[in-house]
Amino acid sequence: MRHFRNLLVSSVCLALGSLAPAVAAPEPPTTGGDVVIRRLTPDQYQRIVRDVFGPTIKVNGRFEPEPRVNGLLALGAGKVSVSGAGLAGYEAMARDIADQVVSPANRETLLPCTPKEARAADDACARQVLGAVANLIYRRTVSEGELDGLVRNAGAAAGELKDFHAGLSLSLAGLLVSPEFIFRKEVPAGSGDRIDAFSKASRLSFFLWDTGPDSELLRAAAAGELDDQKGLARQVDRMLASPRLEDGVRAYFTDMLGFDAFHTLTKDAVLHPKFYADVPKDAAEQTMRTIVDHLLVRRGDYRDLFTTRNTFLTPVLGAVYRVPVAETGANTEPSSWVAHEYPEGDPHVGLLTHASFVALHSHPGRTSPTIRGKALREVFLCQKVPDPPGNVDFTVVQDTGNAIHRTARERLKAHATEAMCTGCHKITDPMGLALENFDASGGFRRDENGVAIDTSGELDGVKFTNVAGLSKVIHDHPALTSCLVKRVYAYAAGHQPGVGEDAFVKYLTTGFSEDRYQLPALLRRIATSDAFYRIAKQETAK
Amino acid sequence: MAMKPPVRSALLLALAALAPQPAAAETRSFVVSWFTAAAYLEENNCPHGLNPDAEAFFRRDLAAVGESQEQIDAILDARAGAVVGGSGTPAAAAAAANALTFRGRIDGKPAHAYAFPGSVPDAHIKTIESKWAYGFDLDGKTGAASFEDPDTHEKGVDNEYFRAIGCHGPERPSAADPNSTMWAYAWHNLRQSLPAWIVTVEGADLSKDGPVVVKFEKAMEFAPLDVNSHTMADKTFRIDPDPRWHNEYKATLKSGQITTDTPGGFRMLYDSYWVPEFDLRRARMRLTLNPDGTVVGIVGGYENWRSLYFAYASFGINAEDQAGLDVPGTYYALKRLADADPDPVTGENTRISAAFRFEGVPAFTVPLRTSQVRDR
Repeated sequence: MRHFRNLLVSSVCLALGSLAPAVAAPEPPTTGGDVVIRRLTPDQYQRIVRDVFGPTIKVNGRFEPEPRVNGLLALGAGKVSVSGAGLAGYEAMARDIADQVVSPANRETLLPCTPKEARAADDACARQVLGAVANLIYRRTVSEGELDGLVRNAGAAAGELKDFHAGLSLSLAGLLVSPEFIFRKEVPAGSGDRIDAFSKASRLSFFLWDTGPDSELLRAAAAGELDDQKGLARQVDRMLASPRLEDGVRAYFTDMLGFDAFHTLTKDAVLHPKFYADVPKDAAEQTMRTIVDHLLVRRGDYRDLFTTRNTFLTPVLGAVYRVPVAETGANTEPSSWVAHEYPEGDPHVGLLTHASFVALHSHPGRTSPTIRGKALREVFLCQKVPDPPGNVDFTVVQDTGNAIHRTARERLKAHATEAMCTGCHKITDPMGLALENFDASGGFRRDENGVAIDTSGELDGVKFTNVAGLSKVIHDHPALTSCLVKRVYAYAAGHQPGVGEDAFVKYLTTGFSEDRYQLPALLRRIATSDAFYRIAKQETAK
Repeated sequence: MAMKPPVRSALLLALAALAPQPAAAETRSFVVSWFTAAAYLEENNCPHGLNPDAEAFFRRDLAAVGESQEQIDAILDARAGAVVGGSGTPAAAAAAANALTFRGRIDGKPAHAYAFPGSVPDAHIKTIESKWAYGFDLDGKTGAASFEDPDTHEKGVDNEYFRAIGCHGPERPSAADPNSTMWAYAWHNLRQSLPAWIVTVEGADLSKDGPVVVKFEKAMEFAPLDVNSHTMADKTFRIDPDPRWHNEYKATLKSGQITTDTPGGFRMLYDSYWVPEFDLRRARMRLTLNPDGTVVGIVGGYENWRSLYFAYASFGINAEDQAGLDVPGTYYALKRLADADPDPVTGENTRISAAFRFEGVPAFTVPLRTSQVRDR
């Protein structure tokens, strides 16, 4: 992983000079979206704790789930609050984290000072500790008055408990359970049509690093540098050059690809005995490594993710894909990742053939061309496929042992003769059937029930004969890139782009093309744009 | 200009080196998923019945060394009381186990029945009396003392190990599961701590009759299990370059069955507690490549009978008390039926003919990198 990150840093640093937009087309005006308040995702919460207190602090607890809105959990995060039980969970986590920080095992390395008297309050030391972390936790400059309050809380508790560290722990826990930490609250600037500097810093940081702003970004915000185009660009370029960009890119694609579903993914053990506990984890990681390597390390064309023969595998995945991948260490060592290039002509082509797609979008014991086709349209092309009506008879489709309809294609054909089903199946099945060579666990197969699998199909009028053909059609589909642009922007801004932002999305899409579909360039265009920080005029800002 | 002879020779040698070598156009590898003694299921191959259960042979042996009926009852009652819900105490059960373990006698003193099985009188346990047993004709002789293989119908099959242990209930497979023997129990428990063993078949076209090469080699990895606790298929293994664990045979593929051409050695690192190492001499092997991609095979040869004895002896009282297998009785049977390699001094045969059955699932193999060899 470290090696991977070093490669990433080198390549991004080398590439930074060419990240500037290829054509300096003027950015169109936008109306902006509503101010949003987003709850931290579990990954963001954990990453901030790691950033502020270091990797030795463990986050123990469960988070309430976010709904998926317009294909993204990031948008769902702006639609949720915290339940009573959820708040209790946050409090328990906050107390646990704070206790770990001040514990005898950690205090010498994590706390910058030692109290004069361990059994009494020490305001100076408490101020030093709280002052060092409060800005990072609240993601803004904390006022002296606020800091005074935090120190007072620590002192009162220390006096009551006759323990400096216990008092400090309570004050730290108070920071971590505060809505200012748990929610990403954006504040309109004085003009009322843009967010303020600290809100900009947060948008930037969560967008590019999936964590809160670091000290340098907060400093720049406090100094007004983010309100200046040059200052903003300087910070954006610094962040794009950081190895932490990988965290941000992973977070985006994890969300876009729906990898949260891996937490509950199961397969029929009799039919798919190789699909044991490590497979879902490795399947997701395979795709993440492929994406990071292709988009960040190699600075490749986003579309080529669907046709690339390069990927990364572990011995576990090797068994699923029937590819020789040897352990590189001793028996007791964890499996390591190896780069793998499928030969020309091999059916494993691009992301669609990863287990993270074909296994994730299958039933436990059988494939589903319909679910796969639906996912392909919704995830990669941003096309909405209606859910099936509630009274559909799936009997034929589910009967994989059907003596007459022995392949999924035949069963779907029989099923889709029902008029109410035909319409939707037409837009999902022709692509999904092209993936039938991959069983419900991601393993390759040539036939089903002894019948050779027919993988021909068509997508929006373009015909293909196999998965390589489908991947090429997806690669060339105009909606592929416009979908990514729209979704990345929605993810970053926290709202689905409205009509007033159409021109800006189109501008980004054109720019993405001009930038040869390189993701870092798209990220930079968004992060340095004016539209990214613009909001619908706020009455309260008057 | 005529070439000088040395130059011409060198050129010819070089050309010979460039000529197409009989390379393996098709290679299939398998990781061994089962390895057990080859036990043939036949209802009537113990015409005198099976060997008695543990209580019966404990009583027999204790009586033979002069224990009184009262003392025998006391020992076995204490042993029985150790079971769940029994009335005995752990101390009494331990004392009973000790009495059973030391039921041998040397100069009238108690002796360890498993370390010194000759200290227990020979019970002449029942052995297989049948025509059928898996294996091979290892000595080129046919006669009343040899078997016929039920699959290949090869006559003159030598498998005296099967004869020795075949009338023990725990070593008899069931119709429902041919792997339900004590050997299978051992394999099931040991396989995750054993190195993986790889069978590789190389040939020009494995769908056609012709010469092939069969390898049986040790891997660097364990064989992992799938979610159903079966050996996982399609995993990749690094072959251990240690020549001690490299078994290679020229063989012939005919009608889907592969049979080694000439006898050879067969060495397999196994489990230090059960059988530390198989070292079959004058071994032969046959394999069947199944349509589902798996392999099943038999390897037969002459094994050191004491090595096989200590597989049971190392389990001691547990082999007898829990599995119901008469360990000293097995010692005598193995010693009596050993049929090869007589000791030059005593004239006693040191090896016994045996056959082992194995199964394998598809696997990949890769050579071990040089750096990994160095770091072993």
